[in-house]
Amino acid sequence: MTNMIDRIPTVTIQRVTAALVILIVGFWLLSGLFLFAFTTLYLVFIVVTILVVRSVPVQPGQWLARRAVRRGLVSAIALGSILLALSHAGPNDAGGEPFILMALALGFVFLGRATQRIASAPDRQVDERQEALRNRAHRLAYGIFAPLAAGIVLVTYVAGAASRAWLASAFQGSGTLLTFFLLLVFLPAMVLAWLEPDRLVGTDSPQLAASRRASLAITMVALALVTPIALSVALVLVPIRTTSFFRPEQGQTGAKCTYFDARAQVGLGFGAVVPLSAVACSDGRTASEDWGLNNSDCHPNRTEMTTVDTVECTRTTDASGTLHFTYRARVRSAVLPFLARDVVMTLVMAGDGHVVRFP
Amino acid sequence: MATKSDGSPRSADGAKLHNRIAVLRAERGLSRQQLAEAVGVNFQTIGYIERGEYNPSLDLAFRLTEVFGLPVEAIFSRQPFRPLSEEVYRRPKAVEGGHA
Repeated sequence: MTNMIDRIPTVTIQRVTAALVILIVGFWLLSGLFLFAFTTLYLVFIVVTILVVRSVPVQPGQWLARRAVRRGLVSAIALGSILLALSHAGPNDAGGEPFILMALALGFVFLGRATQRIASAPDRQVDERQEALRNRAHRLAYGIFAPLAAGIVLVTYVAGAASRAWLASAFQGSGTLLTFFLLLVFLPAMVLAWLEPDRLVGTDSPQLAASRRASLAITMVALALVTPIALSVALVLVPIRTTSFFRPEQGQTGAKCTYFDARAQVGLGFGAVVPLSAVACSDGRTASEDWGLNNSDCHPNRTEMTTVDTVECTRTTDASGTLHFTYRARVRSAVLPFLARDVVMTLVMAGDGHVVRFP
Repeated sequence: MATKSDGSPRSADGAKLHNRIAVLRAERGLSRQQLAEAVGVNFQTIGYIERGEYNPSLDLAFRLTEVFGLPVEAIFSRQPFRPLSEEVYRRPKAVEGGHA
């Protein structure tokens, strides 16, 4: 009888949910793998960090032993989950959402440490008090989650077409879906962290063993935290790498045309590529745009953990027939938004078709 | 068995169960970790029992009595315990009074 109770079932709700999350996140990562290579790499590093941290058996430290601190952590995770649900997280929207995801991932690492992962532990790994606490946390989590899920189903069932459109716009992207699955997995641990009284600290509690794995885990967590900050600073400090060329292009009705192509790469890993691709022509007296020098052409090619705003996008032709085009983009770190850098692309073509300045 | 907000069981009337584990542990020079290993629970659970934040099951209570070699009523009580010193030093007086 005891063996039947202690045996870990092959299919558990946690494993099924984890498989679903891995599937969804996997497809999400695959779709953005080439577009957002560095962010993907960083997310993989975060996952590996979580696995390494989970493999180190430790008691929660003095801070996480306190219920007030644990409740603060749970509140922060709840806030992050709400922000993620309302965000448009996905490979086509690499703004601040990856940062929320990363912050949540680290929050869950601390949550696991604070609760010693009792919430997902099998019976054989917990004593009677921990088992009672775990079961109560799951019961309360179900009480929170079930009405939430039922409410969503009910709303989608009774909502009219207009309300559904509002819901769809309010919960665009995969942020809501991710939040749903994250809560499904982590809500019991959050409830448990909230409930458990202050733990014992001091000389009578086992000390953290200074193992190699523990040192590795600490180093990886430090790296995971420092990397986005360091790369945000690099966005401002590292020189902008610009590649450009222009060549004669076949124009209509004998006009002298030139094809222009330039790419300005800002930042290291976390950054943006600002392109300029256009054709300008000259009839011998006046230079004019053929294509690529309009407002709709002023947009970044690729962004990773940054937001890009168009500060200036102007095209003028002066009295001498010279064409002036300026595209100024402001690349801002999604992690530290006060760190920003301007990229300026300029194209000046004289009336006779001579290229005065590019880029 | 009913449970408190922290998940620990409590008696049907919600009364706190008092115990002498901290004193007995100190007498025998046992750390919480050693006692926890002896009865097969997490050391934090011993701390919660000592602080009255968790009422152990009957099974765990008997395991504790086996470790200390005392009857269950010597370790657990529904009423607050009198200090051991008081019990020890008052007993002879009470006996003398009874004989007088």
